[in-house]
Amino acid sequence: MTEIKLSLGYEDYEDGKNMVEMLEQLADKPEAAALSRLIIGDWGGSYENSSADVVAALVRLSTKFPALRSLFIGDMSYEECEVSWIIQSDLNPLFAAYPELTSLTIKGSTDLSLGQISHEKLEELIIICGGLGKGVLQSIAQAHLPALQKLELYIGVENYGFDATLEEVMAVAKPGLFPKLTYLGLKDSEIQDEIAAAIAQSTLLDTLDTLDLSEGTLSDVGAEALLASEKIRRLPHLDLHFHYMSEEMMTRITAELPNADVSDRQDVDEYDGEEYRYPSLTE
Amino acid sequence: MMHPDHLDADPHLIPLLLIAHAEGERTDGLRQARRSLGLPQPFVVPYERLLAGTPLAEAAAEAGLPAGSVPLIRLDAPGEHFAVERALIALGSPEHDDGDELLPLRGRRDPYRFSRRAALALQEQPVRLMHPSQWFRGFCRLLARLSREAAQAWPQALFWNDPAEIAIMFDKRACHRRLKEAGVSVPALLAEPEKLTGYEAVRTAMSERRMHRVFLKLAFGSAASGVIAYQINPRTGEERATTSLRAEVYVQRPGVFYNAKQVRTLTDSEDIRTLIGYLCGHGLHAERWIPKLSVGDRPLDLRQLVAFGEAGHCVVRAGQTPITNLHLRSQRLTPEEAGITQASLTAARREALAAMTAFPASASAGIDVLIDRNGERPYIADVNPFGDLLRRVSHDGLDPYAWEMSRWMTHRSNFPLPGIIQGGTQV
Repeated sequence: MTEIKLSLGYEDYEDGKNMVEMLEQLADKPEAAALSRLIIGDWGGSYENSSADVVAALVRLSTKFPALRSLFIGDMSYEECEVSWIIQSDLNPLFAAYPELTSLTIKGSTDLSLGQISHEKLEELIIICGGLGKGVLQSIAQAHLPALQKLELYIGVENYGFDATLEEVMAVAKPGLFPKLTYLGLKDSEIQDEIAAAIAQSTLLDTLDTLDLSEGTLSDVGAEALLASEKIRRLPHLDLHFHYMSEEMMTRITAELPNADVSDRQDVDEYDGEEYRYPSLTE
Repeated sequence: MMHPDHLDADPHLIPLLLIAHAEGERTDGLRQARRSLGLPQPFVVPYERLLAGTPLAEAAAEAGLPAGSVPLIRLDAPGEHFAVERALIALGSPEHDDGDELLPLRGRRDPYRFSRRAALALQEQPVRLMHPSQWFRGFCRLLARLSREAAQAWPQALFWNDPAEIAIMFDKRACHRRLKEAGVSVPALLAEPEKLTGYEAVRTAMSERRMHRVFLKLAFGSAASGVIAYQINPRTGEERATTSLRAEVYVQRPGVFYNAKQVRTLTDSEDIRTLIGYLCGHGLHAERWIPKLSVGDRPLDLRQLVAFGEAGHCVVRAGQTPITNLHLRSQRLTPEEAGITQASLTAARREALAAMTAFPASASAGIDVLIDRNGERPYIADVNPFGDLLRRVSHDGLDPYAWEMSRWMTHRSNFPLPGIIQGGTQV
């Protein structure tokens, strides 16, 4: 497996370099043929330029990367660009251009669309963002992804683009939608308690290996719903790290759900008498 | 000029005059280090004594410095001591408006100046920023006085770190300018400090330079005090200010500004305007936000100690926010634990050494180095003349103070560099 990360720093970007050229240069190198994992970081002013040119270049150059199985678009930290400021684009053409792809990771949800998703071999779809829009959730809920094993979605907050209802979120977790699914992450949400309650009795849990409700605002309310479920108890792995449960609830969870990770407990922020809980990526 | 007697003497016979707080970790650390090396104990002159008006020579004699001896004079940090802070603000008051020769960028006026009387009436409020620019003015007046009095009392005395250079290191604007002139790698300046008169001026400069992400720093803050990581989205106009600085705003009197424990991201323009306005009033240094190398998702910086031309102790600080040098919530790592490559580490050390050569009349400093995550180029973010309080870390088997003292014993003859006239005062 060979991996390459392309990232365009500020100085290079201001000097006029661009990511499309970097991709073209990579495609012309002999190692392009063996490249299995490609990570696209900052494509240069990612807060003012969308990923559209990068996507178009990847589509145009797809025959130069025959071994590519794993693609990450937008791997940048807040030291480079706030996640909610990353401007994505319509990534749908990538599915047809890379039919052998097994893993796709996307960071940033602003202007992101996935369209009508159909891909026979994709096993992993991960979207890291500050707030996932309902359009993307609908695309996933209607996707044809028969090989999908891992679906990890940062649901986020309204401030950063989350505009779906609980039902629209849960539509991506419909039993039978992805028959091979073993890892489901609906995380980093400001409605983490509602999501926990909505998933707790789902028959989908019977076939999951990991349920990931981490990085969100999970409190004792959601935890109670999880504790009340036999299906949750039978899960091999339950990821709840970064949460707002009370100490007492953590003790209960630790005793009753040995499959759960309850590390990284957060303190509730109090400000002018109001309580605030923030998901991990949106603080 | 050079002082052959001093340089040839047995280091055990050269008395160290330490201007510091009478008690405290730094003073204790230095005492302990000298003891471990078999060096005589320093003669400690407390800042409080000097600020009460006692001349340096008299305070030195009180501290036990034998008459006729020529000391090596070392200043240590004046901070974390409220009575000293208050006395320095009082020294910066209009009643003492002379002796500003060591104050860098002295063309500007401090906002709402405290009279001496008002300054001395200040009460301690632990996290509050009292009056940074007047404090710094007072500190520079004290530095000038010490430089003058030392030259009178002991024409052959040397300072460990030259007072004039301490003043420049302490002022981030002047320090950046000095480093840049010396060809040291520093983050690009947003604009000359004189142009950054307020919130609008900062935003205009960002837009004109297309520098959408900047670090705004109180010119003479220590550590993360008064630092804002500020960014404007050029597409949407949205702004974000990540900082531990907080304000309480009043209509009838100046606001109260303080450092909170938590770093928060503000998005409200009026809140941000208040904070930036405060920094601009006292003195703002603004530079490009370097996207820092990270360990996991925690951005890091390096504190590299340099003494007598050699790089010593190095500590990595990894933060949970862009502001890595916060005392709170930052994690300390070794370079190995942080996974920094040998090449990057070597480049960072080289840059820290280069930064030190911009201060040829000073022996040591703790230098903060940022490493760009793209390309791993090092940048100097800060030069701390008192940046040697590094706990639980050793180099060549020595703690920082002992290492500095042993460097002094063996390398003092190369220092200061020949031909240097100290302190702007003619020695």
